[in-house]
Amino acid sequence: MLDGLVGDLERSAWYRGQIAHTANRPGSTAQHATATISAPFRDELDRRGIELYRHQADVIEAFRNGKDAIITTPTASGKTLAFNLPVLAALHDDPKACALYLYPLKALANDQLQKLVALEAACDLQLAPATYDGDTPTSSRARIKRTSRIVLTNPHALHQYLPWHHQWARILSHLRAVVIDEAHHYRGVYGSNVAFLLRRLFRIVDHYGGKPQVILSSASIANPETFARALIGRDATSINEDGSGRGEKRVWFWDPLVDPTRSVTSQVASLLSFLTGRGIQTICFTRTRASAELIAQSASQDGAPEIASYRAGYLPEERRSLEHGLRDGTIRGVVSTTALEAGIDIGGLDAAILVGFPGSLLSAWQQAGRAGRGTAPSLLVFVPFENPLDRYFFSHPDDFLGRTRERLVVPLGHPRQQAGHLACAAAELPLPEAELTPEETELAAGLCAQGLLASTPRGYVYRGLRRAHEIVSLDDLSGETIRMVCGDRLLETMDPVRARRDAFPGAVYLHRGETYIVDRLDLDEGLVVVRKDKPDYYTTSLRASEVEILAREEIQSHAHHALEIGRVRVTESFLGYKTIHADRTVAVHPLDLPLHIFETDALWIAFPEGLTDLTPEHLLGSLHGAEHALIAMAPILVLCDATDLGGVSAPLHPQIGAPTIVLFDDASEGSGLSFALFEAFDRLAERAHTLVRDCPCTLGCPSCLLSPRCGSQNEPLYKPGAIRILELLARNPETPEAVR
Amino acid sequence: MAKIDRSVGWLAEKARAGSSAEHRTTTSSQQAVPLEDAFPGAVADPSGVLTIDDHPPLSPLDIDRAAVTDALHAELRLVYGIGARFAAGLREDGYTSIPALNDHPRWGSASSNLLKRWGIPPDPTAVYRTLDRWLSSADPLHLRALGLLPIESLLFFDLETLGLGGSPVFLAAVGRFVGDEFRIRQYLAPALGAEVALLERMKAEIRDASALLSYNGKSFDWTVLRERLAYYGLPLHETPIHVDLLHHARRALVGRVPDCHLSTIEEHVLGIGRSNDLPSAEVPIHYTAYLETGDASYLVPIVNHSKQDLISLVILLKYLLRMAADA
Repeated sequence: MLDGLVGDLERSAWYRGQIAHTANRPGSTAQHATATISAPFRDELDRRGIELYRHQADVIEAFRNGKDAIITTPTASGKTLAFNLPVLAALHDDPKACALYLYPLKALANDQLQKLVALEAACDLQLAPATYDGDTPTSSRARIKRTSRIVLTNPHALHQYLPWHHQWARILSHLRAVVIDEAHHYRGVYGSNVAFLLRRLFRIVDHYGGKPQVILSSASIANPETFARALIGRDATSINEDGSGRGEKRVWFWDPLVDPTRSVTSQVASLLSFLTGRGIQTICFTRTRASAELIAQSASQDGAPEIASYRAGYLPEERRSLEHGLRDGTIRGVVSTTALEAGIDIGGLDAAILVGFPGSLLSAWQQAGRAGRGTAPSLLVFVPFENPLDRYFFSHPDDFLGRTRERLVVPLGHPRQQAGHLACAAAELPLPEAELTPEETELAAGLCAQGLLASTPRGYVYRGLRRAHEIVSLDDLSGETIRMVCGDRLLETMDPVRARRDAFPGAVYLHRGETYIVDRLDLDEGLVVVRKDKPDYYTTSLRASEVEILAREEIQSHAHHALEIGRVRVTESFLGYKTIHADRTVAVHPLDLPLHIFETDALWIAFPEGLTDLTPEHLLGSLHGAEHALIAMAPILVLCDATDLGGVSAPLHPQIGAPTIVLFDDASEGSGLSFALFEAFDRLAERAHTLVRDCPCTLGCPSCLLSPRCGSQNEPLYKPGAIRILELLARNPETPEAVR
Repeated sequence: MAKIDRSVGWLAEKARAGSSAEHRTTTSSQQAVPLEDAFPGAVADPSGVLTIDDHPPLSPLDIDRAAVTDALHAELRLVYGIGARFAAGLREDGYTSIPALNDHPRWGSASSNLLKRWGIPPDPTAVYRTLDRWLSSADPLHLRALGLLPIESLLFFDLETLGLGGSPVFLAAVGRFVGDEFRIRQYLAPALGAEVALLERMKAEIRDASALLSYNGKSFDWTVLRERLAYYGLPLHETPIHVDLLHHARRALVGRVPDCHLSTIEEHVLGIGRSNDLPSAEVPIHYTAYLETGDASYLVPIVNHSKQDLISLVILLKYLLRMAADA
């Protein structure tokens, strides 16, 4: 079906040669293995004609050997079966054993429940699996607590239920397995909240004598072991070799700039109707719902058959009818926001179009994985936007297709967050001082002084007048929380740093693919008021930061520069904001927001001997350009958005006394990004160097050095100097001298 | 230290939000009153729990013991399978009591099974299990069936806590009739470290009682007691007979009171006026003030408040029993 496609496309009147290059990711044959599983499961697999893949067998064996495991094989490789089999087998062998499944979203828990119910029935087990969350009717709650042996819930609900642990004594004392599916959702500050929550859960389970093993399942990531260790606080065996057979993946790198007369949207619509018109079932992923609808609409006008659009927040019936239509082929194409990226059962399609790089390879391949049936070849079209990350992957197919994935960072050092979870833990069971780290002991003493904990012979006891679990919410990033509301609906909560940055009055704000306009930001009240709208522009705030270094934690000395990491104080001022239409600034508006001062983690690169081969007039422009490129490439290494990092460059930093580039975590108390980038800095510098060096422009362009959110409007920038600096940083001597 | 303050300060602020806790604690410049002066005659045991005894003048409790069995037998709905509709039909056909059903072709075996399960005289635990299963918890039979139990084994109880669910219990009050006297015993935790001992005393009190009486105790006091015992790893497995007078007051006094707070019922129905009483909402604030200042004079109104709750409970029970008997 895919053969001869390029030829057909070349004969299309609208095609202007946008396919800049193509690549093939070869297919693989399935690798099977056997595992010890009890009779009802073996029979069921035989009935369904399933032969276990090697990675599935590995998970089963790891579990049987008493190990925790993390499985990170790609979408549609049978991860669900891989963890359901050993868990259900354990529950089959011990008639009292129970399991807890944790899902980031209620909808995903409900999908999993259907699978468990089916498997339970097929294997003739009586486990009464049930979801238990805010939607569970009161009339079913007692029965679930009394009889269910598998409970599926989400972190927010679990947080609320932990203090009522005695009602769950049966399950907790026989808890055999904890399954954490879609674990890649638990990253950054939210991830560390979940990590603390899991430690609280394990402490309670331990109190009841339960001895659960943990299985984590996640999209492919660079650091499964360290991620698992941070999230669950114990070591897990990593299973990441995909043993399921894959069809060949043909990849087109589509350059929309080749035809400047037509917008990206309109080109994608033509491509979509071209593909679906040839019977190629296609899914197209966009960043916003507005563009999803636009593409679907204009593809239909092009005469494309049966194109649907999809977004988050659809009712279950609507979603099921779409899934059904895609499976039985009555729907030939779908344009979606990231909502269809995970956990939804639409079977394999023939082609996927990625409109814009979705921010991470993790997401990109979750999306690409939606295309591909068994070992038949499938097509992936990547259509980049005009920004450094998109253009980098566009011009570096090897990085796009390679096995490298981002790291997931779970920062565990937030004292505010730790204090909140300590208070909750002390409200769940007395917290003996012997269980605490020195840092926690200090925090506990502070909580006692504030009248929240009391020190008793049994340990610390919570004594606040309001419930600990009510004042600590999992969305509460650092204690100061801004709530974003639309009408009377709460959309999300955010850190004040982020609220100022992204939710200033007048800002266009994107939430789960929907666009909103901010009407009001009230920092005292902790409130952002937005309304739904479909503007044809986006906005970005212009900020200037000053960074004061408070403490150094580690220094790496190199021949011509030193790489340092530590604590800083950032003073951020807001200069205004820009509205941007079709990648062009149409207006700059003033913005009246107070200075914001916060402490965070940062890494900085100092050139103690100066940069003698750069003239003084070019020095700042060179540092500034290198700073932009480093920030732009950070999402390649660590799962983050480039806006999660801030940067400042100085030809002579007053504290360092030398030319310096500072990159800092743009969140109060830090988000762990600087530390993760410090570890992988040579690779970051290498990517940034390649990006700028290989960009055909001469002065710096939106695809390499220009940043739309630069506080100084991208002034000054000096590309040759930036290349020189990045080359210096990338040419990393093999043995850096580490000084603590 | 500044860092610690910053890290915990936000929590303390949120914990205080919506309560008026701050301003009370700082007002006491006067001499702190020690515990022994605030509660002369109270006894502290080695675990630190302070026991305060009192016996307020109350007339003896009298429950019509003879009529209980007849009242139970008259309720046909207690037989498995008989609902309101069947019961009405059966009464029309002349079946006015459960024993009369023994020869009934359809209900005979169910009614004789029930009577066998109850025994003679009826076993209170078996009876209450039947009542809890088939009748609303506000049905007056729950009250009348107390007549199956020795009056001296009924335990009236009430807890005072630092807040709603999940917060420590610092005062527990129990009351029982001994002869003609109503004896109140209060267990006070002078520090939160004594809470666990207080809870254990309560556990023992409950073990010795045949039934519990409370006001809103089914949703609150009993739940809190179980939760706090579980918090200390001392699960409470018993489910004793428990009559919650709130349920009965709600049904019996509908239309006669604006709400069902115990204090409202005291005022509108029982004719009890509390002078200088501490409002319930201020109880945790006073205890917190005591913890922070060590001034036991903050505790006196709490202890009096809890004592009055127990006295009102007895008066309300008598009132509701009269209504049940008259009905």
